[in-house]
Amino acid sequence: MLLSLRNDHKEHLSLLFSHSPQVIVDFCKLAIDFLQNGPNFKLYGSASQKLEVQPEDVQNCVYGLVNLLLESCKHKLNDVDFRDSILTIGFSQEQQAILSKFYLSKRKDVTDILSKLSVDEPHYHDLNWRFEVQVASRSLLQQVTPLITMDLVLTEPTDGIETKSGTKHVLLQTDPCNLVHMTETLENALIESRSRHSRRIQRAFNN
Amino acid sequence: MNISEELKTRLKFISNCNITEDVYKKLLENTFATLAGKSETHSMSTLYNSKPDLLKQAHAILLQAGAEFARNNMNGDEVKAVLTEINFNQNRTKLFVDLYETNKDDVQVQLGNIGMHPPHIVDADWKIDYIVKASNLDQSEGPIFRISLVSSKYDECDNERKLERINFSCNSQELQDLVYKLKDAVRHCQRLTTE
Amino acid sequence: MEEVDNIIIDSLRNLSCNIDEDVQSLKQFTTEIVYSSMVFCLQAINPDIHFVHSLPQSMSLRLKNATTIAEHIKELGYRGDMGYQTILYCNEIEIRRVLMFLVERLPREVHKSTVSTELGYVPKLVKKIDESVRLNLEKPWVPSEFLKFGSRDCKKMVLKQDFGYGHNLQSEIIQIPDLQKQDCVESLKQYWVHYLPEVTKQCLKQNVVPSLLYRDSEFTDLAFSTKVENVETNSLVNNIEISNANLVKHNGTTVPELSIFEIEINKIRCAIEENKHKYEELQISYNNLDKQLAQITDERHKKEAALKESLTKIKTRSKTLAVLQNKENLIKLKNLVDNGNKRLVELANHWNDIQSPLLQEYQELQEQLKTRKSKIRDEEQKLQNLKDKKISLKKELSEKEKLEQQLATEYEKLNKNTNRSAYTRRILEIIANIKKQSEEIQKILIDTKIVQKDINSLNGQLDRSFTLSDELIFRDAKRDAMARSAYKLLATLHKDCGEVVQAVTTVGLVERESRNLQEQIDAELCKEVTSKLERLNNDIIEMKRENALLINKLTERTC
Repeated sequence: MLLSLRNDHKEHLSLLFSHSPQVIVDFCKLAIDFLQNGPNFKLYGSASQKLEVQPEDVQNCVYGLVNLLLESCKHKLNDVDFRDSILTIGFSQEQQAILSKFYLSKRKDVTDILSKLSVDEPHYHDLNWRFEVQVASRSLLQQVTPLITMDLVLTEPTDGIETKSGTKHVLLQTDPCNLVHMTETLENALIESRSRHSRRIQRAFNN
Repeated sequence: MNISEELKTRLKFISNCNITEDVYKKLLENTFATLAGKSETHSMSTLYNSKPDLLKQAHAILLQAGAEFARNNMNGDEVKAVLTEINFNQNRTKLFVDLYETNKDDVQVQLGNIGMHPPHIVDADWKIDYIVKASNLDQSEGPIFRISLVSSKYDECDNERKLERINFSCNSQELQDLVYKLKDAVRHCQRLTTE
Repeated sequence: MEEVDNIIIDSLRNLSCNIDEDVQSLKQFTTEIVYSSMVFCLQAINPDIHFVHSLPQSMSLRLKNATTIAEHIKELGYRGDMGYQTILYCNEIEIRRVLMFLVERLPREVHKSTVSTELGYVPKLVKKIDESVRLNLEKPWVPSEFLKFGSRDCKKMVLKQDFGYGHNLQSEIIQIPDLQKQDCVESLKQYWVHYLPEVTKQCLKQNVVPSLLYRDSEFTDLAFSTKVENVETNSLVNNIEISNANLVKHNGTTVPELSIFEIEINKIRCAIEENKHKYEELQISYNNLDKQLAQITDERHKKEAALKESLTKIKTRSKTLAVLQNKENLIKLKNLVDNGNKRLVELANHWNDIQSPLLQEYQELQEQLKTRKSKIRDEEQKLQNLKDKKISLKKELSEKEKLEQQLATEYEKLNKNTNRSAYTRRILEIIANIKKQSEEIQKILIDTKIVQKDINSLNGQLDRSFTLSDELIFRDAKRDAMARSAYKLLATLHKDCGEVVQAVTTVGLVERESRNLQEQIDAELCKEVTSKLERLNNDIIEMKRENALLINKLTERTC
């Protein structure tokens, strides 16, 4: 699959076409710095002085590189596809080699972050349980009520790109009968996900 | 038997008070209907006659006695012993004990419902999702399970039972972990009964 | 085999299986008995299995039931050959094997009854927990909507499976008329009669019972609660003021470019603070002065009162002085005083005379009262003791009755198992028999060994004497014609004898073989193949007839 970029995106990247591999490497470093620490205008300013261009152009070029990385990860390009895409945009063979290296080194991190972004509801984290029997309460002095009290720990997504999600504790209880039912139901889900039908669907999506 | 002297003196009032057996019977039936969470069978105002204050007091005492006996999990014989001790006549004792024994379980259910509890899981639903395409990702690895635990909880504001869903998602390994932990709990319960 | 049969039949009778008194061994078992005894055994082992106790009439039904029974027996782990034919066309040995297997699997009831005799809070609780968890696990899941108030009635106990109705314990203040109280006002009574609502309507429906049982919401000292509140609010207000002040200070230091207004405001604030301070000081001094004033006025009042008193005293004194100045008056007064004194003494004497007996009487009566009271108290104590005793005895009685019942049921159960001693006796007998038999076998073995030895020694002797005579006659035969013929005869004699011996051994072999064959024939005869085949044939014909009937019916239906 080939990546098709918007025209302004291509324009922003075109700044790099005429430059030496060393410059490309520097720009890749700038992009990595952007991913880790956010924009750094001072660096862009000094770079623009060296290259004798407008600071905005440098800034746009860095953004363009990051966007290129994100788009490639989003579509899960393999290295051949990535190479072809880069070459079609207008980079030279030499430049492409550097960019491919850049892509391969950062691909996993970016994909991880992207997949986490898509989770938009509480996510299972942990479960603790204890078995207890209620033998008396203030209004019923003699009773036998077996209970399973559970602490369900969920991670909740917070807004923003930072992946520091908060954990939430949900305190629940149930009786043995419902516990068995619940366990069976959830186990069925697990078994169903391994059935031939589900596997076929998954395979169909992957191809 | 942990019946307080206060309640005994109150009950003595009923043993002495001047109401007809028929009114006593209806009053008792109302009392146990209330304690068992049912609606009253007789309208109270028809029972009043000329002594509303007396009946109001008797009703309150019977309610208190019935609740206290059930709270202590007393059986019919024990109740009978207490009532004869404070001079209830045979007919009234028998009526009380009979109604008490038939309604005891229901009354205890009501008493057992008093108290604080976390939401009680009564059911679980699930669905398996595959992400075909997302805004920021083309495809994902494996299925995503959307789990919904149905829990029931008493709503203190609306004064009724309400179902509350606890929704969360997990992937295959996490669900496996969850199921494993739950099975552990189930196994623990089963082992309890076999040993 | 008789012993085994007895054991089997005994245990079958214990299962209330109808076996006639004259049935003594499995040989007498008919298909009917075999079928019903297997059904009884299976039901005793697994109460969930349901079968008709007698063989049905229809052939196909018979076949069907027999196959399912056979499957159940196989499920229990029976290894041998098992099918409908074992039940319907039974042979003694197989039936014995199957029934032995089933009798071994019968549940023993002795264990359960021993556990239930434990009494005490903790063991009871543990038992109850055990029971409720088991019930909870055994009962199929039911949606919570079908539960009545979140609990499920399982005959033995009520299981709580949903706490959705579990509201908080909350008690409200409710009013109950109290006609026992002595001093109630008429208007209060009127209020009770006409206006006071029913207790059930005085608070929320779910709070009625807690409010009646507990008095959580009633405070005995109302002032106490309000005081606590005041202190709390005061401290809260103080805290807020302090934090406000902090905030102001904070603002002043951190933000250097504070506008003029703010500075002014601060100044004003400072002035206000100062004024406040001054005001407070003034207030304090005012309060002090006020107190002083109060003290002074107080003192004045006291002094005025004292003045008044002394004035009246002076007045009376001056009056008496005026009277006393006359001497006659003085004497009269003295006489009067003397007379009065005398009369007083007289009266006192008189009073003493009257008082002392009365006092004595009073004391006596008091003492009597005391003794009587103490007696009454003793009696009351005794009565109370008796009452307590009565209650405890009653309790004990009921417990004992329960125990008695339990023991009676246990005893009944045990009664059924009295054949244990019979078993052991039989087993001992069997063992003794076996011992005897083995001894006999041992004896016979020794006998045969001795015979074998004798035979061997005789054989040797024979051989030796033969070779000796052979040699002697052979030596003579060279010289004597008679001896030659004797030698020939000896040779033939030897040969013939050898043949005879061989013939005897072969006869023995054949006899053994024929005995084996006879046994096999007997075994085959036991199986009664011919009669069984006949029965099978009859059953097949019966079935065919049934099938034909059914087909006829079917065709009629379709027509």
